[in-house]
Amino acid sequence: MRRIGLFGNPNCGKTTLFNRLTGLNQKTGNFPGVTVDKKQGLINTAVGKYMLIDFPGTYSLYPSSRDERVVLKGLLNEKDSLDLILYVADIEQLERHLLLFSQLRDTGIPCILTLNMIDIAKANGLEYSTDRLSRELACPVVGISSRTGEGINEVKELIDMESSYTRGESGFKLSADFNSIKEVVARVYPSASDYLIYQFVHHASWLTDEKSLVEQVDAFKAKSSFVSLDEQMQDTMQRFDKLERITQKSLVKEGRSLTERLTARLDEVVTHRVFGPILFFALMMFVFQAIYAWASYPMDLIDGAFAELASYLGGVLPEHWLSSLIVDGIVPGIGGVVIFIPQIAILFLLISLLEEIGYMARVAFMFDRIMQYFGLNGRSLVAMVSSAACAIPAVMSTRTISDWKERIITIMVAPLISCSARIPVYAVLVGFVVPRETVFGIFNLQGLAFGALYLLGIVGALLSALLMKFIIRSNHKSYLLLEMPGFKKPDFRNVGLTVWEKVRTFVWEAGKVIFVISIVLWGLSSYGPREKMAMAEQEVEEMLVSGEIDETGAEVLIATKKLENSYAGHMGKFIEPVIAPLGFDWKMGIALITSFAAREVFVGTMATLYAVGDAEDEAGLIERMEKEKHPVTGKPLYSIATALSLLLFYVFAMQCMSTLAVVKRETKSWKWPLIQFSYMTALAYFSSLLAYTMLS
Amino acid sequence: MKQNLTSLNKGEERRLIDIVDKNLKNRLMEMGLRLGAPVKIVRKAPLGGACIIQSKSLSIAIRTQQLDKIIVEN
Repeated sequence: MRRIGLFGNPNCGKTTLFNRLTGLNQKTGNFPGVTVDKKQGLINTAVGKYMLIDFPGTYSLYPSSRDERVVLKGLLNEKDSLDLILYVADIEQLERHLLLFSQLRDTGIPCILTLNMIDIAKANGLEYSTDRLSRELACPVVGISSRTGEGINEVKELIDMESSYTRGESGFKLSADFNSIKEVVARVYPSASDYLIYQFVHHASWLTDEKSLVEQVDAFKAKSSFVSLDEQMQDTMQRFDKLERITQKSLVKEGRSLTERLTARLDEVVTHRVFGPILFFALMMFVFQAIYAWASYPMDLIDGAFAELASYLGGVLPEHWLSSLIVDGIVPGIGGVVIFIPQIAILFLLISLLEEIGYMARVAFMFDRIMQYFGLNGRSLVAMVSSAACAIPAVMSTRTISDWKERIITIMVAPLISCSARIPVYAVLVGFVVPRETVFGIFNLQGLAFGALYLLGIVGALLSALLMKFIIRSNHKSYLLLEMPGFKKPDFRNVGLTVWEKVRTFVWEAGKVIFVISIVLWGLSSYGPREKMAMAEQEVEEMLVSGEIDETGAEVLIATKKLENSYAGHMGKFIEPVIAPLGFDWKMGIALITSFAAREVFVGTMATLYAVGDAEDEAGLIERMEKEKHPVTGKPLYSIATALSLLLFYVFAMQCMSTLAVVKRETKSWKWPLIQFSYMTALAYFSSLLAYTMLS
Repeated sequence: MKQNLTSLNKGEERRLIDIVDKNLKNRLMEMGLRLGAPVKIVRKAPLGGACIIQSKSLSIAIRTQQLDKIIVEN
C-alpha cells in the first residue's frame, strides 16, 4: 500500500484532518526506537486505499526534544520511506507554518500543501492565491477546513494523482565543500536528497549506530568548521526570507483575525492574577465531581451486571473446576477492567475538551513558576492532573516536556497522584473508617476523607519532586517556550476519538494485566499443596463426625481452611512477618501481593478471599471486614489503625505493573522504573509503619 | 542603542534585534519569531516566573529568566 506522511506544526489542526480522513480506521503503534505513538489510519478514496501516518507536530526538522527525532528518522529510513507528504498549514499563520514544509519539500518526497481553517480565513477576509503558492512552492496547494470538511474531497483527488508527482525534486543543493562527506553518507543512504544528507551531517550522532560513520562526519565538521547551531540558524533564516517573499506575493487580501482579539479578551480573564488560578481550581473540582458523582451511576450498573452474571453462571454451570474458573476468575476479572471505563472516559472527555479549546497551554503557563520550584515544568501540571485518572496516559503525556530532567521528575512522581484505580480501595477503607456523617451542614465526612487522601498524594508527589530536583544532575538548561494557541471551539469528533482511543488503550493495556492477574489469583487461592489441602479437609470432617460443628459450619470451615492452605495463603503468610508491623494480616498480605500487579485488584482480591471463605454470606465487603476477628486476641482485625495504615500504603505504593512497563518504555531503561518502584514502596512502608505505631 | 526585554513594560513594543543564547535563538526562530519584527510582553503569569511575548500573530510563553537574552531596540 502507498504510504502518506502527515506533517505540520503544533496547533495546525493536523489531528482533526487525520481524524476526518481516516475516521475510525486508526490504530496506534510505535515508531521504532522512540517513544512517540505512531498513529496510522486508512484513507479510502475513489481510486484506492492509502496508509496515512501521523507524525508528531514540530516546528522544524531540527528536533528540539528526543521525540521529535522521529520525524527525521522516519524520513531517512529507507524501509519506512514515504510515497507522499500531506502537509497541514494554518492559513492564518501561513508564513511561519511553511518553514517545516520547505524543509520537507527539500527531502525530494512529493508534497501536497493544505491551507487549513479556510472557513475562518474566509470569515476574516483573508485570502491567498493558491495558484501562485502552487507555482512558487512547486506542489499542489489546496484550501481546506478539517472542521467543516471543506476541500477534503479535493485533497483525496490530489492524493489519487500521487503517481504523477515527480520524486527527487528539491531546491536545496549542497555546495562543493560537502562533496567528500556526501559520498560517504550516500553510501549508507543512496537515495537521500542533498537536504537529507545535510541534515544527516547535523545529526549523525543519534541518527546512526555506525561509529565509523559518525567519526567521519565529525572529522568533516571539524575540518570545515561546521558549527551545527550556526548552520541551523542560517538555514532557518534563509528559508524564512524566501518564504516571506512568497507568502507576500501570494497574498490576495489581508484579513482581520477575529480569534486573535477574542483570545486576548479571554486571556484577560483566564490567566488573570486572581481569577485565573480560581478558575483552574474550580474546573478541577468540577472534573473530580464528574469522576466521582457521575461515573458512579454507570459503575454501579456495571458492578451489578457482572455480579448477576456471575451468580447466574454459578447456578447453571455444572460443578467443575472450569466453571469455578469462569465464575470466580474470569467474570470478576473482566468486570474489574470494565468498571473503570466510565471514569476514564469522563476524565479524558473533560481533559481533551480543555486541551482542544486551548486552555491547557494556559495552565502550563500560569503554573510554570510553582512547578519549576519543585523541579517540574508547567506542563507537568497537566500530566499530574491526568494522573488523577491514570498514571499511564500521564506518563505518556510528558513527551511534550522537552527538558529531560523535568520530564524524568514528572514521570517519577506522577504515579503518586491518586489515580482512579485507588478509588475502589479508598472507597472500601474510607467507608470502613469514616462514619457516613455530614459536618457543617454541607460537607460529607467521607468525601472530606477522600479529599485528604488526594491531598496527601499531591503533597507526596511535590515533596518527592523537590528531593529529586536536588539529586538528579543535569547540565541542560530548561526552557518553557510554549506557543499559546488561539482559543477555539472544540471539535467534538476529535474529543470523541481521543476518549475512544484512551478507553481502548486502557482496556487492552491495563486490562490484559488485570485479567491475567485475576485468573492467576483464582488459581492461587483455589489450589495449594495437595497434602495440606487434604489434611485440612480431613480435619474438618473429623470435627463434623464428632459433632463439634454442624453441616453449614463445616462448609465454611473447609473453605477457610482451604484458603489458608492454598498457595495464596502460603504467600500471604510468608510475607506476614514483614507486614505485621504495619498491622496487616496474611489475608491483607495476599491482597498486597496481587495489588503489586495493579491496585484495583485489591478489592477484588478481598472480595474473592472473603467470598471463598464464606460463599453463602452475601453481605458487603465492609460488613465482612467488620466481622473479621484477630485469631489470637479476638479483637476486630480491621481497627482504625490498620485501616489507616492500609490507606497510607495504597496512597504511596507503586502497585501498577502497567505503569512500570510504560515508564520503562518512556525512559528506555529499567533504571527509572526500578528506582520508582523502590522509592514509592519505601515511602509507603514507612508511612504506614509510622501511622500504625502511633495509632495502636 | 540596545536593551533586553526585562526592561520593557507590559505592552511596550520594540523591534527584535537579536537573541544571545544560540539554542534559544534557534528554537524561537523556528517557532516563527523573526529578527527585525516587533515584539512585546502581553501578559505575565499570575504567580510570576513566566510571561507571554507576542510578535505579530505569534504568542509564546517564556520564562522570565530568559527575557534578558532577548535584545530589542531602545
